[in-house]
Amino acid sequence: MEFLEGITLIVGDNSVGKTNLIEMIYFLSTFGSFRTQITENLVRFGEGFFTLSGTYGGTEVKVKYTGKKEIFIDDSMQKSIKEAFGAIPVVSLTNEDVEIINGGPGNRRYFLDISISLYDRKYLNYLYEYRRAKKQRNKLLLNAKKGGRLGNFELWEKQLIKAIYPIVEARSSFVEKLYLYTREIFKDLTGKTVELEYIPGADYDNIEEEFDKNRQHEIEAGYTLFGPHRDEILFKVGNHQAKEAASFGIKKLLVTSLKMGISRILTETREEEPILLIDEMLGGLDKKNSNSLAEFLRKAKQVLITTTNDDIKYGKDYNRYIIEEKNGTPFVSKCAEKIRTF
Amino acid sequence: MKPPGVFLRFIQSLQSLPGIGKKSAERIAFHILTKPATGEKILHSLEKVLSEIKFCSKCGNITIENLCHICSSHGRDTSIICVVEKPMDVFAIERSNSFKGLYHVLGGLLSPLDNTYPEDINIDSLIERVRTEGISEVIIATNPTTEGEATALYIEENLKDTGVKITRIARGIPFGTDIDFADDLTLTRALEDRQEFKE
Ligand SMILES: [Zn+2]
Repeated sequence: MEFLEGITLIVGDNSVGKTNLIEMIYFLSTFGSFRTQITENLVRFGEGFFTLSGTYGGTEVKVKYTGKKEIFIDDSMQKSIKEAFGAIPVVSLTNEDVEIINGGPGNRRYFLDISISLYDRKYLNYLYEYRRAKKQRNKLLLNAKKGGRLGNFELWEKQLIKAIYPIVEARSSFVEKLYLYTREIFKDLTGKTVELEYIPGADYDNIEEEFDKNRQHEIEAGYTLFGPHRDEILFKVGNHQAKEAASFGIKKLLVTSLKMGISRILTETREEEPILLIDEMLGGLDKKNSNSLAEFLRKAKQVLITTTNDDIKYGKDYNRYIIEEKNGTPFVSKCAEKIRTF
Repeated sequence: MKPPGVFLRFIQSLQSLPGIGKKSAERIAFHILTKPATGEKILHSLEKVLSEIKFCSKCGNITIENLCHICSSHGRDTSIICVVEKPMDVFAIERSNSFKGLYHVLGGLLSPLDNTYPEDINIDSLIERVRTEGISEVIIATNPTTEGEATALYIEENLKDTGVKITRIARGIPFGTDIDFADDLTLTRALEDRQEFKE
């Protein structure tokens, strides 16, 4: 299947596999899903295993699944997901993204981590190192909680602290950048102001002291109480916390602005525009909002939008795939030509 | 039809080997069944390896004598010790031909998660060697992982008062890559570009 540049609408009724199609593209970038366990979904279409491949901007990514994932980039096998992550840059926008605002802090950290990993190749390593050091340190804290020894605790604390800085550095500069772009896009879409604030999960300038001071607390808990795994981002719309005060429509436009902001950051840092994948996200926007969003999307290099009705105006012309169910086959596609609308 | 239990247990034991999944284990097991001579040969060399190979009493490398071929060689620089995690790392560095000193095999890395503490790996014997063998430099060549770094730091702290020069291999080896997987050139560079230990 080939998608042309510009906007492509993927039109079809619910449950004909529209989302699966863009999810596959998302999978080729992140090897995970933006909703459920995609690996299982995909396996249903092949018999127990599958091969999925895609090319974007001259990079070919191929995933072979035979019980475990094997990833190839331009035919060379990758040692791990870490190495292959984000080889094809993708930004997705789905209804579930509202959870970035509404959900718990874990959702917001996950959002940070995935976004940063798409342009900072070392970031997943930093996270891995941090989690490993934290696990080791937690094991000793738990030992001590059970009355055992804290043995060589400072060794692991040093590893932990060493691993904290690059994460905090990457996250705070990402939020700063994201804030600048999001503010501008959100203003264009809604006329309102938005604020983004990175709230550190510890006093990172004095982290040694913070750990020292709270040693007893941490032993009582049996795990690490401070650090990037407690980081937060705060969203404010017109001086009020978005989570509590903003309407659902505004939240939707806020995550849209965030995702479009990420798209701009990726374009700037990778010198390559990401593919935008939009799953049913545009329903429920009023005419003015959807017009300004459409204007934004028209400037993007490649956008795939799933929708049940194709009467949304995206500009002079767009590409269209219609997906139907035929004889129970999950998806049959037809009509990939450019259609002039007006 | 279910294969005999003894055969299934054989497949299971093959699967416990590193890098061997279910499919490979089955393929090997059936191959050995159909080619008994291959099986006999493996059985014989396995028995020999298990009964004859032991660890060098000085450095912990594998050997059939009391001392390994490196410790008993006259052509080595006996003033430098390269500290590695496992015998396979000695193998990799020797293959790269970039090091002419002696080795010390720790036999593991510090890792509370695996219940491995300083007394569980060969660190005391390293300190003893540095004190008594006239060593001028210790190169710490553990993998650049969280555990490898913590172990390097522990060794450095415990060798500090001996006054020996302590260096760490350069991080030319990509993060997460085991020394035994690194290619010869990368290993040679990592050793050449080693730096005085700093936290
Ligand atoms: Zn030896």
